[in-house]
Amino acid sequence: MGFLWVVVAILSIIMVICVLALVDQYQTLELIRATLKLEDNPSPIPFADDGSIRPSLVGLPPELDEEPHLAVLFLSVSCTTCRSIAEGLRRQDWQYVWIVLQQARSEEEGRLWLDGMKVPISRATVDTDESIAQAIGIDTVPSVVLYRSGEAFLAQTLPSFRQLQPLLTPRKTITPMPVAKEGTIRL
Amino acid sequence: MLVAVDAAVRLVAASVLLYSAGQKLVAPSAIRQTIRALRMPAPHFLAAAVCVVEFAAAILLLAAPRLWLTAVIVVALGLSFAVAALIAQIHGDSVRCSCLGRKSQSDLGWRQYALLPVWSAVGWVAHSGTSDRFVGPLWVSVSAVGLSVIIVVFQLLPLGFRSWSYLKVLESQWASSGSSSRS
Repeated sequence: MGFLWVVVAILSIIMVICVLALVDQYQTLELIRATLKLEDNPSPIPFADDGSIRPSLVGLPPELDEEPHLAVLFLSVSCTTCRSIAEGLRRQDWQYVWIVLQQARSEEEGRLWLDGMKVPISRATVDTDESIAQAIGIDTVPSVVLYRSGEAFLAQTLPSFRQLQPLLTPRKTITPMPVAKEGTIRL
Repeated sequence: MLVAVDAAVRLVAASVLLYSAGQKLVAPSAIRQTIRALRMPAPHFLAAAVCVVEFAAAILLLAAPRLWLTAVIVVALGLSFAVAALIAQIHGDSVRCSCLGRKSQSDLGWRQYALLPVWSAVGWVAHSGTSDRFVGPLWVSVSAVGLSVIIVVFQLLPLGFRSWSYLKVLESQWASSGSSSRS
C-alpha cells in the first residue's frame, strides 16, 4: 500500500511538471505573437470631440445625429479583415451600425461589395471620394467611430470582429486599449 | 491546533518549492541567466542542482519532515537565496530573481533576506513537530494535485482562453479570405 502511495506521489509531481510545461508553451506562444506583432489589439485614433464631426456635418444622413448609440464602421473593399468584420455583422442587429465603404472605384462597385457581404444598402454609404473619412480624420481601415446622440466619444482601429462586438450595444461600450496597429491597412 | 499549523506550514512551503522547482525544470534558461548574472561558475549544473534540491525539500517536508536532513535542506535553500542576494548587492548589479520561473520580475534583494527567517521557521516547524498526521507520500500527492488545480485555474485556463479566442479570430479571417477567393 505504501509503495502505491509513493507511485501516486511521483505521478502527481509529474502531473505538476506537465501542467507547468503546458503553461510555459502557451506563454511562449503569446510571446511569439507579441514579438511578431500578431495580436489583434485595437489602437486609438485621435478625433475632434468639439462636435465638428457630427454625422450630419461629415456627409452622413442627418437622422444619424439622433441615434442614442451609433457605430460608424470604416471598411474597405480591398481588405480581408474588413470582409470578415462585414461577415460577422450578418448575425447582428443593424440598428446601431452604419458602414462607410472606402476604396471603391465607383458607387456601383461599392454597392456590389455591400450586396455580396449582405450589408443592407440602407445602412451604408459608399465613400468613393473619401470625403467622410477625411472629414472625421480616419486614415486607417477597418476602424470605428462611436457616437452618442451625434457626439463622437471613441475612435479606434478594428483588427478583428471580436474587437467590434462589445462596441455594438450601448451597454457594453468600453474604452479602447492603446496598443498595436496589426490587422489594419493605411489608406 | 499545533498539528494543523505544522501541516499548513509544511503544505504551503512544499507547494511553493514544488512550483518553483517545476518552473526551473520546464524553463531553465531564466535561472541560468540569474546564475550567470551573479558571475557564478557552471550555470547549467547549478541550475539543475537548485531544481533538484527544491524538489527534494518539497518532498521531504511532506514525506519525512522530522528528519534533520529536511530542516537542513530547507534552511540551506533559504540561506543560498540570501547569499545570492548578497552577491548581487556586492557586485552592485540588479539581478532578476527568477525565483518562481521566468515570469518573476523582481530582483534579488531584501526579499531574500526577509525570507531567510521564514525558511528557518519552516525548517524548525517541520523538525519540531511530533505528530505523524499529514505525513507521508499521500500528502505529497495532495500537495501536487492541489497545486496543479491552482495552476490550471489561475494560469492555464486564462492562457488557453486567450489562445482559443485568438485562433477563432484567425479562423474567421481565413474563412473570409477563402470566400473572397471563390467569389
